[in-house]
Amino acid sequence: MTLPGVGKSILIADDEVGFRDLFCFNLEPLGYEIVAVVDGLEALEMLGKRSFDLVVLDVHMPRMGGPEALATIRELRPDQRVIVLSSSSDASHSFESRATASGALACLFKPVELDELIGAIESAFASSPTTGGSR
Amino acid sequence: MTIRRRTGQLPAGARVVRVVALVTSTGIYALLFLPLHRLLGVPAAALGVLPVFLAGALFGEIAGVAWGSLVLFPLLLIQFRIAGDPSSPMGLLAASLTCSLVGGMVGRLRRYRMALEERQAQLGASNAELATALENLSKTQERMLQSEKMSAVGQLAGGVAHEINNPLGVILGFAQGMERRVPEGDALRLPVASIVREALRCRNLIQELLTFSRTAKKTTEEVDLNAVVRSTAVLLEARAKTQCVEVVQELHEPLPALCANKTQLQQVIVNLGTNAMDAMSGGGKLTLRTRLNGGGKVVLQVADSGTGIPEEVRARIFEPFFTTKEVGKGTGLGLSLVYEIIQQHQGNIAVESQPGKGTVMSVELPAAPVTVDTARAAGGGLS
Repeated sequence: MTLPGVGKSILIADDEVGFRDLFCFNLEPLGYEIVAVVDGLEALEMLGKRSFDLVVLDVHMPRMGGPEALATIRELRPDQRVIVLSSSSDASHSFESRATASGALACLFKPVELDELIGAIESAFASSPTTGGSR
Repeated sequence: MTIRRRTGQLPAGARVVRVVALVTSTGIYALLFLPLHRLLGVPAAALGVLPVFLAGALFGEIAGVAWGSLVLFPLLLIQFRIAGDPSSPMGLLAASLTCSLVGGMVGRLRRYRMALEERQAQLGASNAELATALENLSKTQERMLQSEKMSAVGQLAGGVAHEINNPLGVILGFAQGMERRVPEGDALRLPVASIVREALRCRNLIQELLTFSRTAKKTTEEVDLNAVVRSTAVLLEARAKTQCVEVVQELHEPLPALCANKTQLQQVIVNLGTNAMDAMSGGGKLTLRTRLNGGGKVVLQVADSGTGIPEEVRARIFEPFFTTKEVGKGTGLGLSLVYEIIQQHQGNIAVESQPGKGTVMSVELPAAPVTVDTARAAGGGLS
């Protein structure tokens, strides 16, 4: 049985330990390599050290939130695949379109169902890495 | 009824009438009573009492008692002298004074009575106005209280919901992850599946609460209510079929555009429609109706042929968390959300219900202000 995530790395930035653990628990069994950090600054630091196939950014984080981190990531790595994970208080079309306009492949709203999350990650990998900014 | 500003004043028309009557009565006296006096030999003063009284009354009414006697006395003196009446000038003065005094007082009393009646009528009218105002006030107060309560609950609920959202997300996520790994038939399958099911239930409630508290921040656009009703009816029909409910649309065309949030309007129709269908478990007819009312407002009605709402429940249906449905079936937020949305749109919602016959929910929304474009289009159509 081939796992869909083998050989693919995901960087997750979320300030809540519950979500970091949750990502590891649910995605590692699918073969993904998961690295979890607590905010945008750490995410940028990590991206400076090595590359990831996908970055998942929470929106509200101390020190540096998802949107700011995304803007810097776009400068450093224009074709980085990014998914924005927001809390439901932002749930609106305008937020979603802002997130996708700034280069996120998808914008999910917590609490996100596992199937939805895995679906979004799989379709992010299915897309070519350069499409992010042009969508 | 005309309203006089002061009780002591007669309208100009009435003054003229009285002056004419005064002159006429003096004329009648001269024409009728003087010949009578000559013929019968009765003292003119005795015959003159009635017209003098009348004249006094009229004068009293017009000019007051003092002026009445001042004018009457020389008048009588001249007339009586002409008639050859032997009455003394002092006697005539006393007679004219008495007559005009009594007449004037009667006149005054008459006027006071009239004024009193008028005042009474005015008082009655303002009493009625006051009662209406009071009723409006208490209705407004009730509405304010309701919307106050809503926004307080909304804020509280929104805050709590937001805080619960993330921990719930973690619980749900782990539970769903476990559910995938626990094989069918495993002893842990039931507890894990239960956690997932209940967490989803919580999530739905949280979503409703968040929608509820977020209603103020939505954007509005020009919306055709009929189009929203048509598209939403499709959503309702799916469920209607399963319980033998016929969905009927009675749409008034054309309707002026509304300045509204489309998604919220849809939510209003879905919530009202769902409630209506809940009241028709044995089948029935769900009518979605639009029309224009007299005030240029657009009305949306959702009518059902269901069980109706008992009087004691009707007062509470818009309260947050009030539900008559069994635990787990209703959150008690559906109608309060509708209420909140209608409030946001400067509209009104009214309930008419007859237990056993059905319920009509009427939503009244103001039409969008006519924009330059639509005004031009309308003008172009006319010319």
